[in-house]
Amino acid sequence: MLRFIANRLIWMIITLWAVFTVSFILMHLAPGGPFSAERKLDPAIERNLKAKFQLDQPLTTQYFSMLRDYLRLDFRTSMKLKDYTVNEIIREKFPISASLGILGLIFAITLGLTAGVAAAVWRGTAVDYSLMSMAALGIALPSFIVCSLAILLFVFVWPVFPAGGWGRPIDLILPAICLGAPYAAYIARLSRTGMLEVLGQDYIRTAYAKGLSKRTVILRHALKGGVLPVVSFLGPAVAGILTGSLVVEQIFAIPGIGRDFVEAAQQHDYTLCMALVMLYTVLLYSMNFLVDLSYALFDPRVKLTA
Amino acid sequence: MKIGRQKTIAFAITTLFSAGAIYALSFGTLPPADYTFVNSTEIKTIDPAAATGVPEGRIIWELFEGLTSWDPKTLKTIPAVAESWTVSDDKRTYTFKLRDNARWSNGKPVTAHDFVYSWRRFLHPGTAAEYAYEMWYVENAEKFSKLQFDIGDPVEIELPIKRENGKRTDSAREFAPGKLLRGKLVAKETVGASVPTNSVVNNSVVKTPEAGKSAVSTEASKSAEGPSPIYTVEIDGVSRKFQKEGKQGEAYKWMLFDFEHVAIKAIDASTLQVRSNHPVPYFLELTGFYPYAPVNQECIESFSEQDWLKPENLVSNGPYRLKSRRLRDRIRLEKSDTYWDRDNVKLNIVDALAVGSDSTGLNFYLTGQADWIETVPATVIPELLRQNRPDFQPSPQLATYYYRLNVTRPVMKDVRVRRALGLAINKRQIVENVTQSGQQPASSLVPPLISEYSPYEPAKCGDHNPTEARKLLAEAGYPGGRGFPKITIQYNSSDMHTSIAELVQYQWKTILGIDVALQSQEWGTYLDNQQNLKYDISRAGWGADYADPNTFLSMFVTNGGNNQTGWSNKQYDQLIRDAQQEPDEKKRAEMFHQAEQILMDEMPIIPVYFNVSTEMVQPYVRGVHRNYHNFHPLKAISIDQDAKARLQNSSKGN
Repeated sequence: MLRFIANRLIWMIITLWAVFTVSFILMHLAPGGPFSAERKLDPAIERNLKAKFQLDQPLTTQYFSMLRDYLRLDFRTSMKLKDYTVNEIIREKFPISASLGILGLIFAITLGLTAGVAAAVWRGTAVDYSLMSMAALGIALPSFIVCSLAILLFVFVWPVFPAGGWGRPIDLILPAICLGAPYAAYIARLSRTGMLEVLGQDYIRTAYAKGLSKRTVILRHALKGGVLPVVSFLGPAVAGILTGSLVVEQIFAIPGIGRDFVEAAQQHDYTLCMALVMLYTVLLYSMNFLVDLSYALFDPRVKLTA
Repeated sequence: MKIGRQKTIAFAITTLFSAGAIYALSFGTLPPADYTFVNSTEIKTIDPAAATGVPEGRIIWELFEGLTSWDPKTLKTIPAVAESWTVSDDKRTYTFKLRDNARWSNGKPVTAHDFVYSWRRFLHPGTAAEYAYEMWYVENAEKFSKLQFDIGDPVEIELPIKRENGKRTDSAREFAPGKLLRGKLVAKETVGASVPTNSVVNNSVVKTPEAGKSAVSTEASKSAEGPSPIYTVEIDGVSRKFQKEGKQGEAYKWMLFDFEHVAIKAIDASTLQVRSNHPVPYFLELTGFYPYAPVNQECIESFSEQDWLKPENLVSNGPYRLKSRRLRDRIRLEKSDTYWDRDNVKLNIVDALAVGSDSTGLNFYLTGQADWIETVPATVIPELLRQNRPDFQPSPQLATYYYRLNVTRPVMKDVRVRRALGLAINKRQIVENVTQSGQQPASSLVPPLISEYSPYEPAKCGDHNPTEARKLLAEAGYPGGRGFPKITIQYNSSDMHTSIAELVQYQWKTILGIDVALQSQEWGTYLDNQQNLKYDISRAGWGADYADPNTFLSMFVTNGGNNQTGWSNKQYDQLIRDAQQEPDEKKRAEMFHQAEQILMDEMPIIPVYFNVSTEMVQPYVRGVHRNYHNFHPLKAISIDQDAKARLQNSSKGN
């Protein structure tokens, strides 16, 4: 177990370094820079700006100096949101995306699991078909359509929620549902498949043979094995949902980090963009790591080895 | 044992989720604001010297007040921190008299010295202000910003800051610059190469493009490789040697043209004198522009570069103070109780929302969460116009949408081809079928609206004329479009730009018989291609910085940074240069007119249409006047509470 953890940590450091290097090269390869604008700057002014952000030095110098700062967890000043350091931006905005993500996730897991298990138990019935077609819709519909429909229904036709914004609990509900909807759909399909496979196994038949009620068999014996595919999906899903969604945040005007991610990339904000790439990498890696750990808890057949 | 573990997991998961949910719902609620407006995307900064955009201006103008301001209705210059001013007979020296009740938010008076400090900071290369060129009209300001100095010039040298155990050894504030030395530059030696000492230093020869470019590159590479030159400076009669790294002379942080010789002077605490290089008819308009606003030296030098802008630290002098700021959410402004004209400020708390999408902005407006929005999504404009709403009346702007033609491409070298392309575009069809919000077809670069603000009549290119266009193309050797090479229109990805380009493509095909391709580009690539002339035809737009033809016409001088067409015309350059120096307003306007006529005849650009503002303002808001800048200072705005209550009741009744 300990060897497994140590091994994963070493690989994490290597992964982070590789991601850093590749991102650095790609960012500087892309045409344009943080200071290219529709209004061309006077060369002298552009030089002053570049000097201020150390962009006038050779790329290798820039690379090592940035790497050094990252090792000290100093992510520098944002090139586009000049009043903030990148650390401040992440500190202020990651919690917002994360809290919205947690709500969305709770919604997705509750709805998805219930629907998936119900569909598996009543396989081939109207319940199964209607739930699964809804799930198919949930996966197929792009986020901006789900959001727009939700706003049309719950803001304009039946005005119960505000059109967007951030601050009050009621502001969170609609975006959390829209954010969670596609995940709920995936979870429903995965848990249905997982449950169906488990329900056909011998130990379930044994449980029924022992005279246990259907309820007990499903909840106590089948569910644990049935959710395994969901668990492995949750790793990347959590990382994705916590780092925010551009579309949901944009449409509902949520000040989360998803918008920064996309805008930093578009505007060539090298410092912010790099920090967010690294943040996402760390999250994704740790979530996958947790998933692997939890396999051992859910499935007694899995042994952790390096 | 096994059950125990299961229960622990279940317990852990439940705890984690509920903790998350509680945390998610724990964000505090703000009391509602008196007035809320949607300020497009998150602004880059609230530092007047570092900002550039329009949304930035809406906040900075409320926090900081400059010498002059603009009338919210007519945009004419009105007094602000300066209560009066005089202009010398040669129209180059401005003397501002500051009002004695102008106060910082810490209660201290705003003085002429504050302006000298602020403008020095704005021009300083270390501030790297993108708008610095807006102050290069001031004598020697450009030299100071651009690190230019010749042998014999007065220079100032900022010494590095000495620290012991992280503390400064001098008595200055924590973030103040190091000690300044002033003297006369007497010699320059380049290390490792023999360069005559009396040669021109740095890139002060930017007049010719090639020299400018090479000077820039040597200057840029100097910091990266090789030792810096050694400067000999005479200070108080003593010659001292300086070198940036400090190996072969004293180390320094900055060596600049001496700011004492930049024509910005505080005559006394309430008198500021500025002298410009040449008459600038819009100079008093510029002093109302936000980069000219004063900042508080004590505040800046007490906190770090970013911390002085935090709500708890910021000292400002405008009608409002920064109450709170949440990134990409809102900036909350609160009426300042030290502002000199506070009795005329009616709104107490104002929220500026950072909403990234126009649709969301419109949703906010329609549900009453916002009182003013700058723009609406293009797709809903026809519907809004059909509803004939009193709160949606597109009004003309000083902004032009045009196509750049790359005249370095062989086929576009021929002026007849350029004119043919221009005459073949049916601009009316574009504004009526594509843009659809009341834009006017353009037959000049400078919008005719300018006549309301400046004595200028734009010069025109011909109207849509298919016969003439075909004739010109035939004369150029491509009758009926035969043999015309395939060219491409590039634009940055947007539905609107695509639709316009498609229509132009169709018009050129049917009228001239030529085939053009369309290419949608990511923003960075699009800008890059334009700057490096890697395009045939490119979509472009320009909005006025100030109401004067110069803001449009100075773009197209030879090798101008925003020319980006490769076009060059000596007569045009001369006319622009002369007009800029001309004190007589009428003659000046005539010169600009001639220059624009050359531009329109030569047609390196094809004007397409003049833009309109699609702002919306709630009917109960008073004091928002339509003008070309969408400039709506909060000072002038108030809320008609009765009208607001009536509107809310009527919407409830429905």
